Amino acid sequence: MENGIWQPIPGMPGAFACPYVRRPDVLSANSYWIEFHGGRVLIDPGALPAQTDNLRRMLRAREGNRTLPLLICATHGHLDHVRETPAWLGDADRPVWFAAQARGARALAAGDLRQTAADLYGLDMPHMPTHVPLLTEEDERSGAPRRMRLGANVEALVRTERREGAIRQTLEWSGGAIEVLPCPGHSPDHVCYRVGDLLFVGDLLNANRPLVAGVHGWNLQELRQSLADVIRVLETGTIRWCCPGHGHPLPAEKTLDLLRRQRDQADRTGEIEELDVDRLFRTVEGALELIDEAEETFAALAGRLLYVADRLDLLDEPKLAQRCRETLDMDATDALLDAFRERCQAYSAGDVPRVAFAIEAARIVEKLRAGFAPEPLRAFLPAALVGQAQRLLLDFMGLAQGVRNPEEFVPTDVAALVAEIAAVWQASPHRDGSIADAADDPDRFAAELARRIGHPPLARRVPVRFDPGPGGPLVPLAAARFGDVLLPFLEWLGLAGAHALDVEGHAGDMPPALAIRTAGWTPDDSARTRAKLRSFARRFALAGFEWTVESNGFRLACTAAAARPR
Amino acid sequence: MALTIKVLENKPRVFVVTLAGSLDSTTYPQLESKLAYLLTEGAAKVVTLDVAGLDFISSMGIRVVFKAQKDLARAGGYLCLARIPAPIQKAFEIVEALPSMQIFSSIAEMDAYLAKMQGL
Repeated sequence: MENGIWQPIPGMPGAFACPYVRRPDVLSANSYWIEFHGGRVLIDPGALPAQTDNLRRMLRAREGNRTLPLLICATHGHLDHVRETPAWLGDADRPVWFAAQARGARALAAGDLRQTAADLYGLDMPHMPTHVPLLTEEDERSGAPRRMRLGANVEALVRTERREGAIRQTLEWSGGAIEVLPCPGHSPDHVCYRVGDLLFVGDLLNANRPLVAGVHGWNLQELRQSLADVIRVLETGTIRWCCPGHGHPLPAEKTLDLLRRQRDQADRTGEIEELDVDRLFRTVEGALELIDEAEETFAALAGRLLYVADRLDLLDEPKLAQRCRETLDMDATDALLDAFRERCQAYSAGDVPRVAFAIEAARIVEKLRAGFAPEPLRAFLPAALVGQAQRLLLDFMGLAQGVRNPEEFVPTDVAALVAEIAAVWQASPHRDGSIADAADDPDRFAAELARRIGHPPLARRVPVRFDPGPGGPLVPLAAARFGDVLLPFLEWLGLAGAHALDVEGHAGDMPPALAIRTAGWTPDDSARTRAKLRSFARRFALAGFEWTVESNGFRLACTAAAARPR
Repeated sequence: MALTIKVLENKPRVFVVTLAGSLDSTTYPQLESKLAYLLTEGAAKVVTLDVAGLDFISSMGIRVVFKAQKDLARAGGYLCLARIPAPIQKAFEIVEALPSMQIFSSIAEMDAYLAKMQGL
């Protein structure tokens, strides 16, 4: 379908449609014009006055002197789809009415900030009347046709029926028919509209995306059912184009593919925390913190990979060097981080609304994560560094998606945890003998060389003594995550100037704890050190430890509270 | 570039192997087989690689050095390196491999060490 062009609607002779498709963002949805013989329909007027101006221009160009009554149909009552409705209802040139699903109609009449998601935008929501309520409780109960007189010669007829176990409603208006498909999940009032062979799907295609899933009224079970319903409709082959609220119209086959993927994803989706203003704030804060850490971590990854590759070249291992360089697409990563930085700056300057920034940040981080393959990187770089980068991205996406992850916490004995980390430390490729062990096999030796080059030989430079101490009770800890934080922390302490480090388990303490003693180092008061310590404290907290700074190091005490969902 | 290998049995089962040229992915098999020969036929206990004449060492060259170190250790002996030129030193530094080996900076130091070797 061509944007901005009036075109015949397939499957409905005499009817026309004209898409108004915006560059996708969350500030406002697409609008779609439909023209029947005796009236026009505007699906989702959007949320921006400039959009209303453009839509009016399109309408004037189309109608000339022949104005027709107008019915606005909302796919659902979220602000980005309907906030401009009152601007149309006051139109002096033509009579305008508004149709919305009954539950959404009540929220819109009340100007409900949560149900319309206006709270997330930090905007007010005008109260707006609905003249044609759809899918009312009475419709569903009795199924009796409902005729509504809207004006002198204008009426709407609503017919309700049950087909294949699903409610279907047909709205007859001005010589045309609009089929209404209830599709709750994204919001309780979400509907899709079918006109001829076109299906207007609102936000169904985005309903499970980060910072969309979990919005007030979002319901995974209903969403699964709605996806199944629309998939069934598309599988009949009677729809040609699907018109989403955000993004370009798509051929039915492509939409079917996207919906099936979304259905599979929805089947894998666990509990999602509600997206409220608090979570939105936390996501934005997380994004602003993430950019600094991500730039630093990915710079470390890229720098070390280049170092390893250059050294492998010097040692006449060009193929291995090339493989090393290709484990991370540094250009693509840089471009994404640049875009992320630019968005952060735009948000900080007040140029981007909070909700838009959060969604853009999540989109960029999703791309970073998609391009990040930890396994090949581990062949060259320390697992803890790779894990750190991976967790940075996952933690932010967890925050953005509102995914709770209590299964990461497993009952753990702190003494066993210290022993396990000591074993990882001892397995450093720099220990004497590790390289000689591989000398009989050229390929294994080359791989071992690469690993040795990629691992900073901290174990040699800074002695670390691990003392697990006696065992203690099992406490819920994110053990794998803890290792990925502790090892970089010890590395950092070594690089910061510590001469020696002791890691002691105090599993019998209440609560169980670890002590990290540092010799020859105390934290300075620089902003960089403070930021680094804050970052480590936050990451330890995610692993289930709360830390306190002591005169000769740090104490990490287990906190069972960390096992509770964030 | 070629590799030349000269072997001198300094005293019974104590060998000095002098290398010159390039120990790379093409030439390393020569040294590998020579060292294997010294271990099996010469019952070598101490092998000193005098690498002053080496211009280049590749990863496979380093592997041969480590393999010799390991094989000698299994036989109760050990490997030494002598007179390491800067480019070769750098290659070993890249893999942080030198500290675990006996290294001589000069012929005199090597001779003095080998002269002390008793009961081999």
